[in-house]
Amino acid sequence: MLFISGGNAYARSEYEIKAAYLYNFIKFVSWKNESVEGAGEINVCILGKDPFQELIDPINGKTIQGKPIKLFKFDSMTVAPVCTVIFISDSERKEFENILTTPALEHALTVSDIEDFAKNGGMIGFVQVGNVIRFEINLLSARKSGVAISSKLLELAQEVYQ
Amino acid sequence: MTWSRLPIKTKLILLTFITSVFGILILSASLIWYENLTYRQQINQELNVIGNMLADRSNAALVFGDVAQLKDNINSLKLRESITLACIYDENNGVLATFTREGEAVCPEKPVTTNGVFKDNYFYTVQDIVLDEEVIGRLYIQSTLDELRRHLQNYVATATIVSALAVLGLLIISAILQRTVTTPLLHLSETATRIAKDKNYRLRAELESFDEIGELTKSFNAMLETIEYQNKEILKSYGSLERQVEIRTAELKAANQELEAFSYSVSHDLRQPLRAIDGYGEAILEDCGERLDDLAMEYLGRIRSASGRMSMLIDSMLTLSRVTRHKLDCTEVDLSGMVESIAMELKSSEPDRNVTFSIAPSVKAKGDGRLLHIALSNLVENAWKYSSKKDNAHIEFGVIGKREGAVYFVKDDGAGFDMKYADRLFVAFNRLHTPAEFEGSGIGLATVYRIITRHRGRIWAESEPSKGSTFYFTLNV
Repeated sequence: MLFISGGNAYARSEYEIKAAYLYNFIKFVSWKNESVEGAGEINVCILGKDPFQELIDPINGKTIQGKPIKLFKFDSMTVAPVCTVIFISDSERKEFENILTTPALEHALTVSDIEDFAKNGGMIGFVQVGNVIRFEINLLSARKSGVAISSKLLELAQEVYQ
Repeated sequence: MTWSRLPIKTKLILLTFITSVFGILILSASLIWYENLTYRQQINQELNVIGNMLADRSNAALVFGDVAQLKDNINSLKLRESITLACIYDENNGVLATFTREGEAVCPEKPVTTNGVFKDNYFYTVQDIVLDEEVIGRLYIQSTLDELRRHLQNYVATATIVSALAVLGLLIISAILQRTVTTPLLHLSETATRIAKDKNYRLRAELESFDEIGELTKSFNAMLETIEYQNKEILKSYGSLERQVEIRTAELKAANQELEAFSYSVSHDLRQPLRAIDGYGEAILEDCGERLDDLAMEYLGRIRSASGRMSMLIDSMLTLSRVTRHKLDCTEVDLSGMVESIAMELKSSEPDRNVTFSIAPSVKAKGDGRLLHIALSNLVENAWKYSSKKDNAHIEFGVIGKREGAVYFVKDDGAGFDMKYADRLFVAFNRLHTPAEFEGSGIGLATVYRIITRHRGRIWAESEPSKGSTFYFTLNV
């Protein structure tokens, strides 16, 4: 299996790990909005310059809580569909705060490795601690969008903003 | 000491003791067994719950590779003192976090998911760590059973103490309660023993209970009543019986004495006139013989022979009365010698007769020599007499059997008699033959009978007419 954990997975590349994390985040998240929760599938969007390349592809079609994942990759929010989960690429660093306010992302779980992403309104932001990849969580943003994050995930977060 | 010798009291107490110990042992054993079972189930359930919770709590940390968090999680197990080892594995059985108490335990290499296994002295459970229905790792928890052992030890100790106290209590209670059963029995038994010892049938057992023992007491008293009554009756009749015996004995004695005196005096007093008759008869023959004609001579001869027969009769009667009064003087007697001398006498008295004697040698017996001589004389003379019609007679004396139970016999091949008169043989003056056939007093066998009876022996005869007879007798002094 590809998408497993690995704090000790130095043999794996940074984005391999991040792809696994992104996939696993979904398992610890639930949506309060009924249309999202009731939807038949989970739309995972990669916005901007795709850092994962083929490393993220295997999650397409996998199921979480019985729902299949559909993977979309976009350069611009204007063409983006309704995303359940969105990874905002580092290439959108300057624009991300605007992106976060687009209605299409009203109930989406936002993830990015842009610096201080969580601190500045994103929900989950990757951070590098030494050689290990960790993450921060902005609980306030999540609550506003109706995204419930499991306490187990919060427990693991490097920092939780409220 | 055997069970049957124990007193009832001890038996009752022992019965209670054995029964209660048995019951308490079974009860304690089943309680301990049940406690062991439930305790194990409890351990199993408890550790599975802990394991489940921990596994669930650890799935995020596992999936995000947060070893520190996993260690935190697993270290929370230290609060449960019996847990000695816990390990978290990833899905490839790689150990990610370990908790040990002593630091020497090693995580098993390939744990297999289970809901709990009891090994010799420890218990372990392996729980899957699941995320979204996908097994992402395993949690291994091992617990010592020291706690269970301690718990059971305490349990056994408590059960032992409580059981001992219970048995003690039961013993005390049964020792007190058995008295209600045994006391009436003991009293009854004491009364019976006293009665058996003192032969005092006026005593009665006291009625103390109304159960079977009470019934026994009643029956016992009723029995005593009967015994006492019968005792009185026996004593009464015994007294009258004794009086009657005394009276009869006195009467019998008097009659006997009278009879003896009578027969003695009769035989003695009859001699006097008889001697006169015989004497004068002889005088007539001597002095006036030539004056008497033939007829007178014949009559005189008859008178003389009749008086001679009467003299013989009187002698026999005297002998019989002497035999009755004579005191027994028992010695070892040579019966063969006696018979031989009697045979010699007979042969010399009638040398014309042709009689063969076969006498068994050295037949000896204990008895009164004089009386036995009279008895044997009578028997042998009878044999001699009743075989007189035969040309070649044969008389035999012998013995069958050894000293005790020896049967002596005198056998002839003479006239014999019909066995249907056998019961009249030994009665005085009863004759089976007429004097014309054979001479005799009719007292001889009565005398023999008296002598043998006085020797506490038995006499009987076997015979067939004209084939001879055999007289058997035993001696028992």
